[in-house]
Amino acid sequence: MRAVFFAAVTDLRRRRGQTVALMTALLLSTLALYTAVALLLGLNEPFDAACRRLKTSPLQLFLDGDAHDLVAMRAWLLRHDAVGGVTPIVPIYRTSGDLLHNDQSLKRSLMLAEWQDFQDQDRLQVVSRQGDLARPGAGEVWLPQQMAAAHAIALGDVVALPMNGAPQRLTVTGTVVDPFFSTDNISPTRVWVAPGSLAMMLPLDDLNESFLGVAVTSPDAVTTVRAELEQAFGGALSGMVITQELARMAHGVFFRVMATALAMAALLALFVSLLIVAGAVGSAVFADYRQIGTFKALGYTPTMVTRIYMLRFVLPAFLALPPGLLLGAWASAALFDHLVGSLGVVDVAQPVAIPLVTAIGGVLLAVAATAGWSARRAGRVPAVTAIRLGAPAPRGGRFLAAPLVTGLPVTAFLGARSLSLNPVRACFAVAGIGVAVLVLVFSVNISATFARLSENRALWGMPAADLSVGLGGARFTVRPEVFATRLAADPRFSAVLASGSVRAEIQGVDGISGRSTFGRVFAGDPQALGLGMIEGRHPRAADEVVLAVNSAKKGGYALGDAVPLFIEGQHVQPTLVGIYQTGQNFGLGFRLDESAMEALLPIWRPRTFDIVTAPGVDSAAVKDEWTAFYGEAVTVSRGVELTEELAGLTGGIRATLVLLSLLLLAICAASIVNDTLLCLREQQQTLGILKAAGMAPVQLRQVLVWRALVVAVMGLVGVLPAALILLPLLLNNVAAGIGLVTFPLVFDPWGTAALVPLLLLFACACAWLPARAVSQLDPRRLMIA
Amino acid sequence: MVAWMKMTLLLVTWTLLWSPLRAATPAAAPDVAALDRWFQEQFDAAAYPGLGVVMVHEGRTLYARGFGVTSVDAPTPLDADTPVGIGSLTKSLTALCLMRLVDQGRLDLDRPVTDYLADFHTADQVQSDRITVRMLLSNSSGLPSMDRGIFTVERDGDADLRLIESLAGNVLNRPPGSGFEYSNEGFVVAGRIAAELHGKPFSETLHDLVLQPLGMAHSSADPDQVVRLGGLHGHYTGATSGLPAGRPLALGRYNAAGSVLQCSAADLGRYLNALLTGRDAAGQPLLARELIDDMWRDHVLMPESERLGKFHYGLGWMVGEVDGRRVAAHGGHAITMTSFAMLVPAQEAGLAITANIETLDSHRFPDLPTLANNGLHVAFGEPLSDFGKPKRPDVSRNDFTLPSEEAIAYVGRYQGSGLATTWLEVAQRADGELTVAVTRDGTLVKRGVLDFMNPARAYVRGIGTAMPVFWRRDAAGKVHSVRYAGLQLLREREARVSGDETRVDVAGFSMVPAVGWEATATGQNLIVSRGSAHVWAGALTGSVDVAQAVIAAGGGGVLHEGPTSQVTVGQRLWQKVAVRSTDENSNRCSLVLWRPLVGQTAYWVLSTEVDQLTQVFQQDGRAMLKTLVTP
Repeated sequence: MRAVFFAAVTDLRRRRGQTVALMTALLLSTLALYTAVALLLGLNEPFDAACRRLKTSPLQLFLDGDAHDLVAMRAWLLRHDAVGGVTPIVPIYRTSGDLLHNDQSLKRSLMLAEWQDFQDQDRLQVVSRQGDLARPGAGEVWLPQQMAAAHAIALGDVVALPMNGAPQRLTVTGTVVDPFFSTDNISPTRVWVAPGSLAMMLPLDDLNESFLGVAVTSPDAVTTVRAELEQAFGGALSGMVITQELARMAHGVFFRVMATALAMAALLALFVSLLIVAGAVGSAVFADYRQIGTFKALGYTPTMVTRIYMLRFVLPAFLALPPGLLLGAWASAALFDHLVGSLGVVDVAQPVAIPLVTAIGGVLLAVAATAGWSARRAGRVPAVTAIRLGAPAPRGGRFLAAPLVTGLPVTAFLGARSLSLNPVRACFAVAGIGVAVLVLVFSVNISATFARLSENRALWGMPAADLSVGLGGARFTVRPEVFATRLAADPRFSAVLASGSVRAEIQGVDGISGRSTFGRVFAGDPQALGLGMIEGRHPRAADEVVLAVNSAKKGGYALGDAVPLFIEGQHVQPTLVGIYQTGQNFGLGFRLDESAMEALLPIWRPRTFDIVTAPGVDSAAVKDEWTAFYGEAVTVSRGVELTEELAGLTGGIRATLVLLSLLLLAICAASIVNDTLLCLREQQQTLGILKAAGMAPVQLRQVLVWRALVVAVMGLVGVLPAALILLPLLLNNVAAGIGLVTFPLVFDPWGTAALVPLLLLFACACAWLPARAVSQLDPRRLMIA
Repeated sequence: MVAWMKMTLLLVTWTLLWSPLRAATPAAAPDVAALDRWFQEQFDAAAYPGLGVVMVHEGRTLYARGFGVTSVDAPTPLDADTPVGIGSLTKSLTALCLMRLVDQGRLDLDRPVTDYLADFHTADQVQSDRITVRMLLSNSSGLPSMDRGIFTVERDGDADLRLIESLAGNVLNRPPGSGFEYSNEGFVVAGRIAAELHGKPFSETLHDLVLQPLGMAHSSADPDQVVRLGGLHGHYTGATSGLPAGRPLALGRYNAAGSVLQCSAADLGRYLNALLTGRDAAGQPLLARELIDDMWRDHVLMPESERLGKFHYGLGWMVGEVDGRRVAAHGGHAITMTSFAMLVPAQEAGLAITANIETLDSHRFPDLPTLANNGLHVAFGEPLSDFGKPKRPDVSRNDFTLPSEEAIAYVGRYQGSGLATTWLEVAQRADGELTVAVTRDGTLVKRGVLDFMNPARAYVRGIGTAMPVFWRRDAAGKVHSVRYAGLQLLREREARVSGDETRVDVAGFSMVPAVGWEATATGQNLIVSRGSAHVWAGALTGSVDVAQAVIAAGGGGVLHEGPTSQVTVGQRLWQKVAVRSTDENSNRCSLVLWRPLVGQTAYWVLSTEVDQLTQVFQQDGRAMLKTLVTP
């Protein structure tokens, strides 16, 4: 065994460059694996974990105390068998305008709640505070950590809350984790003020609302308790209801996307590392052929020879693991801060043991298995032939692509041909670059999708309009019929779709915060603005309806079914003629034709107009014109404004994708360096001959660069189309939960096309540096050898 | 030379453009008798309790008369000198006030507002810094139309300042100067500029710069003065007649620059004459001609109106062409009173109308714009027009009939949220029709018949504009609540307070204690307590002294006062402030309400541990406050 060990170590020293390249790849693989496992474990229901830790009520009621007798309601809840506890009644106040910070208006409305020292339910985790304050004092406010971080609000800052009279100024003296309100996806954001302070600062008429947190004995009981509560207290509750399921959905969208992307990146990184190991072992066996024969002649068994190579590659893994693990721990902590911390869930105990075991075990096992499997050939080397020939007997293979590349420059031809000398490793190299192509294609197109939301509105459930106009000002309005006639006669517009919103109860389907669900009534063909259907068609008659995909799923409705609706105080049962997708309201909703609405309410008129402008028409100029002409009677927004509103969200997603791409590119760089070094070793005699024949070192370097280029081209050709097919399938799967069964992917042709030259340049750059070793080749010695 | 020619060309163009407005076209003398007969016919056919009408021509008031009564409950004749709330017509007087300052060289309309009110800004300060005085007066500043000025019932002289400060919490609805946005708040800001430059509160500034020079002795923006002048309360609209408003409009100082001023018809005649002649009551120049022309120049296009046609907004005036002649006009709606004024400069004529009732159903009765325009036509022997009339049938009319067996589900009493007790009561007549009566703070503010469009929506039909109501019915058909005029009203439910038999009555103050609270009446004080929380109600001699009230209620010295606000409890307007106080043994806070009595101030004080104030008020205090009766 000692002999095996020394043989392996000697070999390692002899091939330092290759060892360094391999260690780099393994280090990055370890880093990615540790990070991915840590994040996957850490992200596994972090929201639920935070809720459990803080005993957050899974059913939270924010109700009008004027409309409901909250004392009686609390007593009723406490008597309910499925209720485990109810918080005291907490006064709250919802602001009606934007929050002001540093004289800037932030698009957030707030819910002020009076601080309570809850012990058994709805605790708050204090993240930071001024001094040793136990709770916010008079004139102070504590914000959710996520909100403070997202809007750069620091302790000591003053925020102003819009109120009747004058803005109320409060000093931020603390930040907390309040799980339900640690995302911008739930509005308003709950902030905490001193107990008793609402009565101090607000007019009496604004002291109506209160919060009740309801703990239940089992998660399933939330729906039951809410339904029975509504029944017992006169139908729909007056206020807002948030359930844990709803809050989890609001947070989970991003967790799911991030976790999936990270897992994919980790597996791909390990895969590339294994390709490097397999290629390196094959190369080493080829290069050490005579030495293997000698070992065998000395009495080494095939197993011992195989072990030399296993050890030869497991040893670098051992060396690469500690820094890889350290970097992984650092990276995962940073990503936790970015992903989890930004959602307000701080101080989450990051998993260490399982990522450690997984990374160490996974890398070592995978490397050992790959090296062992690849080194089997070494065990089968015949001693006599190996000592006599110093290389395996030439195979009967031929350079199949020779006719195709004979027209290339000689350096390119030689580079391409060198791949055919070890096709297995060539495949590994191609696969490695293919992984990078895959990730980069994903990154480019997902970034484009979020950056250009407004260009693909229809698949998100919104009309693909350049302009949207809402009719109705505080005092003046335009008759919908008049406005519609003008739009129809205006040559600047190629399509117009009028619509209005409506609410209804769909039997068997709860809305987001109650029984009713928002729907849309169209006066015209929604297809004109790109609104398509997953199944069936748009409604055309009064007795037809279409449902959003999650409404259909929850209610168990299929095409042709009668859908019981309670709308405008009337029970109707239109036939389901279609199912559509929408990214709004978590995929819940319905659509009707105007004939249905006119039957229910004869005076109903559409008051929203979505408009597609003709080519060359400046929508900004049209907006300005209408603002001047109609004044307060219309509200005009441009489609591109949606992108501006979502800049924060899209920026975060883009940053994460860039991070993933850089990781994969680093591994890919290591792969190319390694492949170049291996190639140098394998083919040093050939290169020596070429050098002796008069090829300049620069030309020889070009041979190796051409080799990397061909690998890159093959990776691009093989993976690019597959990536473009795989990407939508993956996103469809991830986003189906929020109603986007067909993810509204915006394909970025220029970005994707730009990847081709960039990756080729990248491959050249990665190969050019290690290829300088050709200058050290001594043709005379090589030819003698 | 070239500059001179350009100037000449400009002047010629200007003259041509404005010739219809300015040139005095020779016309026959107005037929006042015909005007009087016509107005009498119109009044008799309509449901106005009272109207004030004034017509001016060539600098003289030709006709000024009142029709009907000041109140259907106490029918004294309404005459041309009776002050009536003119609502937004006030904007034109505010504009005149500022134009006089321009005339005096003290104000430049095109300078930013911040040059005059340094602290003025909205949340988007970069935008609001671009707002000029002209934009305020032409309703193109982009300031949101929140109508805070109307509903803030403050008596303090600096109420407008607080309103302006509150704008810092809002963003503009549109970039300054980009389009029309009607904004009472904008005129409050303008009024404050005038007040700052003149050095007196706006009501006094308006008096000094406009009302007094024009001899408008029966007009004022000061609530106390309006009461002294006999300002009317006005009427809400009932099923067949007006419903007298329970209290005067002039309860508070309001923010008069935007919308609240009481004027008599005769005074409006003086005002119109001054604008047409440019001279005040003494015949002295009031305002340079070009400044009046500037007020009536097209500044910003107004959203089109089916009834009124195409108008621009000038400075405090709507300007446009009606029946082939250029007019300047403005209307006003002061909740229970309305007004409209129209000037035809080319005829050197104008007509103004005031009405002591809110807007009537324009499908049934002629609205004030129609009456004013046709009144001028009648006087000049011109054909009548449909200006101001609806141009299409009432779209809210429909053939839906609520099944009679379902009607009973709506019958009942619905209570609005808040302390200003609003009730909506639905009853069923013998013929099966449902009727509605809405009371606010004990005053009947709407009465009519329910005309259903479907089981979830109906209109309240009477003499006034049909008001929509939205019913919340559950799937089983039970009606739980109704939304009326933006307010949700729920079916009457069990009260948190005991029955009236437990009412505690001390020295004119009475209240029903909430469940679990005990009364401990001592001397002249009414006290109810539960644990460490207690409510004290009583009167103290003199004007308001919050600290004294807190001590009287058993608290310590006042450390800190929160902002003061108003609240209507029942039929009374109270001021509210919360204070933190300390005594030797505890840290307590109090919620203090007060209102003036004769020589005294009435207080209601809820005192609790410092952390408990909101909770105790929400759970019991509010219910007890609703039962409070004071002397």
